[in-house]
Amino acid sequence: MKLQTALALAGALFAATDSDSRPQPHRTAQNEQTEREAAKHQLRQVLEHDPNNKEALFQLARVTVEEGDFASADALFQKYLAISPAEPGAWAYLLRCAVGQNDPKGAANAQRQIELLAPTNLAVQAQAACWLAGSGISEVTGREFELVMSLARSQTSSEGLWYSRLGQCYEHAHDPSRATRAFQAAVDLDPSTETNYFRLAHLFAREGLVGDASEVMAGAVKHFPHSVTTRVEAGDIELEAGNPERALEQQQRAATLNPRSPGVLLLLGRIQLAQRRYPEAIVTLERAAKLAAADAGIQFYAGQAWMKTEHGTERALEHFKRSLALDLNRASTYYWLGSLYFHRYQEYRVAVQYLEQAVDRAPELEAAHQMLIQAYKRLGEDAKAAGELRRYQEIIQQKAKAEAAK
Amino acid sequence: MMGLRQVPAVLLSLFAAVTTTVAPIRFEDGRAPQFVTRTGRTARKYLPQTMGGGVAVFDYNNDGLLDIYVVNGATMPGLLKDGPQYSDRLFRNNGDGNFTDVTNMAGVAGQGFNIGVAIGDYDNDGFEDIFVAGVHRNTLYHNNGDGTFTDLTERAGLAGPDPQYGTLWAVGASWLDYDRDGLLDLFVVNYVQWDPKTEPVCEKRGLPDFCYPRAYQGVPNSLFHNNGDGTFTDVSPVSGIRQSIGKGMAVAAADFDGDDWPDLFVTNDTLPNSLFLNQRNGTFKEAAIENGIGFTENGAAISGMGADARDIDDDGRPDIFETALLNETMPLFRNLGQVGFEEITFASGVARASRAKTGWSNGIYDFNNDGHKDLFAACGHVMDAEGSLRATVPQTNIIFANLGNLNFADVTAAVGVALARRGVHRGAAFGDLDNDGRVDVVLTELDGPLRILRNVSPAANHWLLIRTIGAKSNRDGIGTRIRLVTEDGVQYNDVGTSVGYASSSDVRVHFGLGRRTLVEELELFWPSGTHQVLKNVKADQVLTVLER
Repeated sequence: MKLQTALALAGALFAATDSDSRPQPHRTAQNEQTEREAAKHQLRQVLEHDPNNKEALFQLARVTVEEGDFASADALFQKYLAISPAEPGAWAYLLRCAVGQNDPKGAANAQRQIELLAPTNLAVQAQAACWLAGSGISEVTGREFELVMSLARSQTSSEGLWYSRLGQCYEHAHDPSRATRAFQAAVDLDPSTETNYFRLAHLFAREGLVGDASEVMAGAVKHFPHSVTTRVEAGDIELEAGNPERALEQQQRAATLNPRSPGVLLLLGRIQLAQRRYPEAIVTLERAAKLAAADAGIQFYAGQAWMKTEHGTERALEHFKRSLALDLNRASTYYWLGSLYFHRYQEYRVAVQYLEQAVDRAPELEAAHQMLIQAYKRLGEDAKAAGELRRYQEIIQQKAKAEAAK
Repeated sequence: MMGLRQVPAVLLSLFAAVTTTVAPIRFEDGRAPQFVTRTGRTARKYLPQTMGGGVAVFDYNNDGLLDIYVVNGATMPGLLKDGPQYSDRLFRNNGDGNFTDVTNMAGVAGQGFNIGVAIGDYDNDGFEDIFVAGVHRNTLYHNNGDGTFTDLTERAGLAGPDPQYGTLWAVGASWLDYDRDGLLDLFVVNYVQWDPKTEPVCEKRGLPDFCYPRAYQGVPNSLFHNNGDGTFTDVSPVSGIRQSIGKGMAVAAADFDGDDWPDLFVTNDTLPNSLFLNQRNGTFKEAAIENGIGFTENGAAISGMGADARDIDDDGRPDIFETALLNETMPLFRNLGQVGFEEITFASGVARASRAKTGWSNGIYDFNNDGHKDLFAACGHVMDAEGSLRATVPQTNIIFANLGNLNFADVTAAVGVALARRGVHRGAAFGDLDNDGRVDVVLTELDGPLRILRNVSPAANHWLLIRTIGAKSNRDGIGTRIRLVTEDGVQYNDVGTSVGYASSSDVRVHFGLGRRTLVEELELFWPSGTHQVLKNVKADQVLTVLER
């Protein structure tokens, strides 16, 4: 397999990692499965005629990885590497298989081979680090993150993308320290990409490093003084950091650039929500919803604002349902719909349907677990309530372990 | 022990059918002793300055009249009481509407920056003792029975710093007999890790203001077991209490799960509430989430403030009234038994009026003696008057009348001018100061005067005040559940002093009886397991019940 192929594959898989944090167009699991089966069938046919066909072996192994069958994929990659042992991309996939099987020895061996064969190949090294992030195996392999960071010095601005993605992997793995360094490298390498600043600033804000977050966004504003997006993000960061007054300053500057921007109005509505100025938030968000009826976020916040009023239940329901139709992946929309059916209508069966979706999509959403347990109990489904409680307790224990490890 | 759930359905339905016409509630300003809750006001804001104001009503000299003890702040950041203005104060009730300052004679002026107070007779000698919760220093005053107190904090084993967190900042406490051995144990509510040297600087619109709780790390609460020899053992780790890290604000002790053992509900600031269920073996299990009480319906952890647990619908299960920050509403949780709790804040009518308030100390009491327990919350915003929330910092307090059937109405405007006054209220202690059968309220305000709200509701309705004296149980009878039956139906209430935020209320249990002048049956379920029944008790009296 050519190095370019490995890069392309790594890129594709990185994109898959990204999908954890970004809403994706709805694609049914059934469609995906059908496509995979067809691909596997074709690849097997090729291999029947030519068992050592490298490309077919590689692609079949890759599809098998995507299916999560790491043991089978491992065997296929081993076969591939027996034919072509100097392929760092294949070693990277083998590392993925080892991580998937919780095999520290296999992962350490694959990591050694990657280092040996492609010590300066940023894409492969970054992908390996990404797969190892948060796996628990990284303690065995050890050096992968530092190795990727050491490559930053020799990169051009276009490689900032890899560091941004690496940062996302470590952020997803609850390792803010490494995520910060990766995001910072992305900003340093490529200061002309707005999103690099946003990711770093959001991370700082979430970690409570309010000053650092503001500083990063000040840098972004300096680079993009006429960007509404940057101003809105800067406001968003301030809001996340618990500074609605400063968020409002940014929002007002964004409004001077484009007063009719739905994003600008959404930020204002969110600020008003944070300041608990609910009637004003309703007016703002309804205006934004008129301008951008297909924006799931605006519909969601409009629903939230209506929920805060005494007689806003029906309107809240409308907005939440519209938001859900536009974005099926937002866990919080499922939560609020569940909450609404639970508390306002006492329709526990309907509430359960939404709450199950909420906890599946965001297991860390503690309040959703609480309500789901209660809804099961109200329906007399005690076994389900007990099961959900166990699931919640496991999540809390994992969270506590991760906190302790930090 | 007979199960408290075994309430004849016919009685419940009779009680539910009681007329929903609300008897008027009226308060007027009483003659409060001269006292100002000092915050050690400084240009720079230190978090304890917005947190103080604990107050207690209790009978320290056993003359049958409720006296007032109020804690006070100190200089900041030194945490020193460097003048009489910072002294904690004990005011003796003269019985004529006036109070006498007996602080110095009693020896309870205190040290440091104090926040809360809890009253209980921990040595069963018949005299109420005082526990003061403070910033990096708690104090246990033993009542000597002769009008004086002795600081026995060290000797009792309550003075040491926490091995992991150092000196803790306590905001309140509750006396309860969690192991039912006849001795009051002590649950201490701890707030956050705080050090004046590392106090973050926060501002609003360029003006210094208090920082949000997220700027501080949480801590566990503490549970001290009473050894019966004047000392206590810190059982926080072995009891499981220490496993939960929170930012504790208030505690309400009651038997929430109906197993006759006292449980604990703790409000946390910007973290989920905690519900510690007594496992009957010296340990507690935190079970707020599984019982539907960790979060409110909006899914976010609110700024939980005060808490009181009493039975608002008289179904035999203690419900919970919690106060919270402006616009968060004041959650009302109905106890459904095995199923857990149901939040009825919106459905009950409490959400609408409470949204505009930041509530602190609160209580569930029948202020108009109509047989339905009402709600009171002391209100005042957190932020400083010089900050951006100038207009919203001082607030009026709020009263909800219980209309029956789990409906409440905000009657604040009709209660009288005493309720129209705005202030930065914090503490509130509830008790019948003049023994007229109507529950009065003692209030504190930050950098403001102590206030007495005298309950002057039209006296047409009847009442009963019950003072429990334990024999096998702790002498105060704390934890005793009382079931009262009149022609109108059944009512329930519990003996306890820890009510609301940082405050301690009358240990006597109050019942409003409406038109009824006779209590047909009075059942007491003592913590010792003793079940005692009294028949045909006359209304309108302070009844002392000895455990037999």
